[in-house]
Amino acid sequence: MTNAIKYRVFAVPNEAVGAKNILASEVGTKLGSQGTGYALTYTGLASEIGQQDGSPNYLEASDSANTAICSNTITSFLYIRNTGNVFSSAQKLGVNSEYYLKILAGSSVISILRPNEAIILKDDNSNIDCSGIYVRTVDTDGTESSSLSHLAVEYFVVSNGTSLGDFEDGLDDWTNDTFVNFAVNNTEPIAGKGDLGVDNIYLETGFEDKVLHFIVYQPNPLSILEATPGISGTYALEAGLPLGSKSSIRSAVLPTAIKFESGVPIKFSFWGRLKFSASGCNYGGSAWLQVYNSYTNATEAIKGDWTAVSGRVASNYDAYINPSVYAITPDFDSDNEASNQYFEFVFTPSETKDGYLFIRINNASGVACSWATSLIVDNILIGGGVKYCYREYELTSGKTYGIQFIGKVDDSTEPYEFWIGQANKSAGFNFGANISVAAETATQYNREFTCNSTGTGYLWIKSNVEISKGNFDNFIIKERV
Amino acid sequence: MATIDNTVQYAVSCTPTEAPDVEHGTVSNILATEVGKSLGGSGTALAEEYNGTAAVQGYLDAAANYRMAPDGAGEEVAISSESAASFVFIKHSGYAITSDNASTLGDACARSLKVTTNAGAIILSILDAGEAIILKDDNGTIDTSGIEVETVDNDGTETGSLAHIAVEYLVVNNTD
Repeated sequence: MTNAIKYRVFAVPNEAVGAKNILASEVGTKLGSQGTGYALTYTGLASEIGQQDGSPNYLEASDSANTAICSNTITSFLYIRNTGNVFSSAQKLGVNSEYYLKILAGSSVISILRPNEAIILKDDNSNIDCSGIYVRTVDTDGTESSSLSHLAVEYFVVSNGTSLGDFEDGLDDWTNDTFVNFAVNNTEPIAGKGDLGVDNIYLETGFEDKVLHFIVYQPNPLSILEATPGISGTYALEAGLPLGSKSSIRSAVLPTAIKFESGVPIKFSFWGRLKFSASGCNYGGSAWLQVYNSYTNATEAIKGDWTAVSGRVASNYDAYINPSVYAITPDFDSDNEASNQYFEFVFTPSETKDGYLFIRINNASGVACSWATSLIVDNILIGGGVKYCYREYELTSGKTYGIQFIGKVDDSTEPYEFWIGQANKSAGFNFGANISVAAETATQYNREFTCNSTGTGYLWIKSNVEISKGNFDNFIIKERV
Repeated sequence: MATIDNTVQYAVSCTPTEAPDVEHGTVSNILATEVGKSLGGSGTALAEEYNGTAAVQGYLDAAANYRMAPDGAGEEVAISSESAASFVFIKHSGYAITSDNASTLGDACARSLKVTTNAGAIILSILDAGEAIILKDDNGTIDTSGIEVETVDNDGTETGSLAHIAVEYLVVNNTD
């Protein structure tokens, strides 16, 4: 069965004959219809769907500007009603109001509703753009005025996946529901603890055996250390950040804390490479990547054993294990890697403790180095506050995939954006069109794109916000059929 | 004796349902728990007279005047020329038609009816056979010359040279 919205519209044209209304003779019939809209899910932000946990989430219709119903750009079903009440809060109606509710599509008026009147729009292909459907409180003659009390609008917005067609579950090895709720409690970076002060998160029941992938990515690798030449000491990448202006980064790259349990192995894999911008900064010399198991360098390391699973690991990788920090050093067999390489390790803790896994760059020689990598963390209890997340499965060239997620950024100082796209393991990253977002918003995004290569890969979302400030929630991917 | 106005009483309603997960077999959809109720609204649109032409109004002399919704990219046509509509009803009749402003329906048509504004750029709805939408404004500011219809494939593709949907509609105004 499919989530469905049964809907009905009905009209009776009347004409006045004396003091009575009779069925309008020119029309001679009642008009009506019934149909069905479809919803991929009813899960999402209350502000996007308009209903949550059995209660409405009212929208305030300004009288001085048009207010978009929500930011869902691929709506399959839309219901808008003038509640007949003044807006008090998203959860509470105010006093009665007689004002009318103007509804516009772009700049075109499509309805002006009296109290308790409603309209319904629908498109199974989810091509209704609610960010272009506006409401506005107007006077009863339709005139605009900025002195009116604002109406509370009841609305209901759902999407049927992405913009075309129905979807089959392309993620059989993921979950039938194909989504997981991630944590929402992100905090500011914690000084000295990897700039990753993200709360521990939980997984919903039923996801215990699922593989979660989170990717941390340095989108502008050349800026990080070239912008700070001559640095010395040990430096770690603050993954995912445009770090050109940061000169003292020692952060871990894994975005959230992990609960290490003694004897329970954690797979830790990543794509990475070293790319050097000056001589002397090389694998054989003084710069290398290290995989750590704590959010600080050495003093809070979690004891355990590392094992290389796959990927290029030097036969002598043990030589790079620093017992004091319980780290493993991947092998990079040339000074300037032409492309990212895949590494995969397993860390088996010998103690139970919360901590982090991270990759850092050690540049003891003080020679400027650049690094481009992505980090994949696998099979761990993890979530929340990530800057990247993805789902892995077989991508097929020419097929179209849809992505739905809720994104939020909290910092108003920069113009933040989300991207979606695909990453083939062998083809690198290929992000699609960006989605501009305003800070301080939590919005449900729905996008689709067509895959351009076949193979095991990923569908991604990423943001240019700091990991600890980003938030992805309800990440859903579907393959279009 | 009190006087009353010509009106169009209308109502819309919807019931969101969801498919519950079951271990064995299937069960019927249940009311979507996130919403928890049916949604709806009803009201009255004012109609001055029903004295428009069949092409403008969509009905005349108790007979429907079907608009033919053409197909193909950019082939949208206005549902009516009424520029001050107070009530608009647009329905996918479920049938094809071979000429515009006709009263006789053709064969059943399972293609979809796209309803747009802004010269086709803004999608208001894509209706399956038998489905309809209602727009209303007592102040008569709905310009139906900017409400367009077009026949499309079920996935919204604007394939041309196929069957054209017969559109049932009613457009009234609140002015003389």
